[in-house]
Amino acid sequence: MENALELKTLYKSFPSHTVVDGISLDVPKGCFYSLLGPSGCGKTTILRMIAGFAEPDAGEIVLNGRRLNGLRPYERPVTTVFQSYALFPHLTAAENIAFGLQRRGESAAHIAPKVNRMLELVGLQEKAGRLPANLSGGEKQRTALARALVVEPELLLLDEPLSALDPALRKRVRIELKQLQQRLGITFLFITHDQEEALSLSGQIAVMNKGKIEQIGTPKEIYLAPATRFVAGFLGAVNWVDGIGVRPESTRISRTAPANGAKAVQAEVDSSTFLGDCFHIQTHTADGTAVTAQVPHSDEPYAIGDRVHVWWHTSDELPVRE
Amino acid sequence: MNRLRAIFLAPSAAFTVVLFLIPLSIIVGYSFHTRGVYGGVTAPWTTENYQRLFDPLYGIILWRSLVMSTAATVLCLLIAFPLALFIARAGERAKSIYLYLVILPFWTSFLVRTYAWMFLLRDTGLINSVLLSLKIINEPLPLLYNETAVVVGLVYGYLPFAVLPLFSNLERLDKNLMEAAADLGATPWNSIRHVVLPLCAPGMRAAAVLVFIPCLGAYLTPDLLGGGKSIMIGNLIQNQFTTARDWPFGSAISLALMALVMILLTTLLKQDGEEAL
Amino acid sequence: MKQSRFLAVFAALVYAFLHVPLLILCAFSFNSSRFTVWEGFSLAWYRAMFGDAQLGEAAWNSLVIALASTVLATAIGTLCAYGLWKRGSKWLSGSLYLSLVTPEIVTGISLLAFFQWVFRYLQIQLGMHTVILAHVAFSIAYVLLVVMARLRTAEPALEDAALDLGANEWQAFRLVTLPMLQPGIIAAALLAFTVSFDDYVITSLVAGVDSETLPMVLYAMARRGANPVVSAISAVIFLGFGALILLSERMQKR
Repeated sequence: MENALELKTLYKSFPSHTVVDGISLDVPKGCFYSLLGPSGCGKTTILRMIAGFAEPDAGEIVLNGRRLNGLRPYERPVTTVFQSYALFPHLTAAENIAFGLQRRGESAAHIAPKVNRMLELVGLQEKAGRLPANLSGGEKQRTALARALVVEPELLLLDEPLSALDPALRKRVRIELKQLQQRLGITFLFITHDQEEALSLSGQIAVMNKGKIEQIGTPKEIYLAPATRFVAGFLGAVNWVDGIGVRPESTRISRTAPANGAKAVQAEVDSSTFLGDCFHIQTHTADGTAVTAQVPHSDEPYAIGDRVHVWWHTSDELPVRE
Repeated sequence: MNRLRAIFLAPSAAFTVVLFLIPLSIIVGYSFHTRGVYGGVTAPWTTENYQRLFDPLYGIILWRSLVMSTAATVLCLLIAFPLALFIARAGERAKSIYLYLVILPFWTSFLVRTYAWMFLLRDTGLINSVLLSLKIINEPLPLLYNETAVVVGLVYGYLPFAVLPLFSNLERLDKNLMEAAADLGATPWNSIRHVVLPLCAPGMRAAAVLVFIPCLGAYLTPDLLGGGKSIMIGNLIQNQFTTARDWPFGSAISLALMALVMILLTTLLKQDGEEAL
Repeated sequence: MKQSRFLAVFAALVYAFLHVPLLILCAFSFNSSRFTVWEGFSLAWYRAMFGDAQLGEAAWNSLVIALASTVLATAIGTLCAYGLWKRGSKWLSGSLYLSLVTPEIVTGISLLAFFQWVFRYLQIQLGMHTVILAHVAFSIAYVLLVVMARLRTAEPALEDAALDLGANEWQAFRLVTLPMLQPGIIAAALLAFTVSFDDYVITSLVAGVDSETLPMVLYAMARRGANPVVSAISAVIFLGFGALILLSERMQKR
């Protein structure tokens, strides 16, 4: 597949520390690509360097074969959906969307239909004349998205665009966002610290930590075959037993020893937590290692202090290399 | 961006250099010169002007300025704190009206405000007229042209400068603090004294600085309300540049005043960090 | 929260202290007697005020100076605030804050010394132009203070968003930041106008024979002794500024 964006060994340091420490990655054309990592891992700095708000100390940024280094933000065919949306408070939703087209010198006759089509696409026809202060959180988010998409960028950058929304809305917007990307075929580079968001949206994910890339892969690869302990732990809960990682949902629990073919450890139940769709049973082994098992409702209840066997199939062990 | 920023800063930089820094440097230069026979500024270079600051004749004026400014500042804080507390505890609508009423006189001409007190205090002023007509006194009281009149004028002139920082400090305090204190058995007075007042230290410092500095450099108030006897540093400086025609000495006093202001600002506001300004 | 009675009474007294002297002054401007005994309603002092040619000229000078210096200082100060917001400049902001805390009398005499020094080499004299220059110089810091306060609360990504959508730096400033700053700029202009219109100390030192301002005339009249015309002028200034403030509040609320 042809690459839209190529980052070639990018470095960026601030006086106190290095935030981007030799990042290379290729974003295929039309891909929904996520940069996933904890806050402070350098992902926002990478986004700012691609958009042109910051310049890398070393390395190259190439978009569709064209080197972007040194170009001003307004010279780059890239737009951004900001975390705060950054809607212009004195312009209506429609005027916000028209802003980028006007800057390109397009005539009013050309702009109006494009803006209308965009408003329709994000379902904001009714709110076109409203100022940002009079829009809800979700409407603001969609205005910001429409404003960035209407100029048909070669790459859309999204800086945690869902973090300001409440949880219920966030899930719905997530689905809309994915559908929109598939419909338009524009390459999305999505920045997030929310592993669930990244897993559910992305075609590919690059997991970052401390300015470096830990692993690149599809959501499935990253979740099921994390390359490092960091990736394994960042994408979900992990039980670490004697250096082997296994997720709670692959961990079973029983009063009797399991049949052969499974790895088992003796443990004592510490607590049991009801999570609605399942139980989490927290236990500890003889050497004090904490192990959590996810069990269905149907399983007989375990009481604190019960002696149990926790076990898993070796095929469910995470193939962490280090 | 850098080019645009440079263009944007150029006019203010030019004004600041030409009409503030260079004039100030000239004053620094003059302060080390000698007064000419006809009032000009001539060689030789000397530090005599600074030595004269310690002459009792002028020292008394510097001292009086400090005393009167301190008195005005203390009075302003004593008046402003309860008022700020009152405003901070008012409802949202009432709050903005109360604040507006504090600021309103400030938007009126300073001269007009000072004249209003001359109108009240002079021998033929309102207070004396009323007292005379009521036969409470037989001769007008000497209310104007003394140090009390100057302090009253200073308090009147700069009170808003004390109310505003105290109010914004009180506004930032957690509304539950007083309730928590009351809950723990503190009387209203106790909770103000032991909870609110200590937390208002930054506001108090800012208020003190904002009142003290203009008081120290006051010119109009002592001139109009103090008459010839209660002059302050500001009047002394003006006098050196006009009637006395001793520019070098006037320059030295000006710089001494600036030094006082700077010392005050750095010591009092140091604790609040650079953002205080 | 319940107000204590002590605080309420105290506040009432402070408000009386702040406003009664001005209200009495305004009231007595309608007194028919020239002395501080009420003898009946009269507009004589207002007639005297409007008939006074010197006063009219001074008021006109004040207005011209205040308007000119407000326009210049607001423009220069706003650009300055924006430039310093982008990236600080220790010496410039330091100098401007220093000018803000410099006692007026010191600013006045240093400007006087400067103009005299310059005019030794150039054939220029003190006049309206020196007053306007001086007023612009001391107003810039006020404008900076007000506009900077507004910029500090601004959404920092707004300009990035404009650049991102294809606006160059100048367009981002003109189309996004400037409209956003408008309320702050109006407030700053109002402040600059007031300090300019009101200034006596600096103005009296750098004014020439042709540039006597209203505060200068007021000062001279006040020093000479009781004069009901001063009360009348005071009342007009008081009402004029009150109306100006109300008007600007309205404009900012809109």
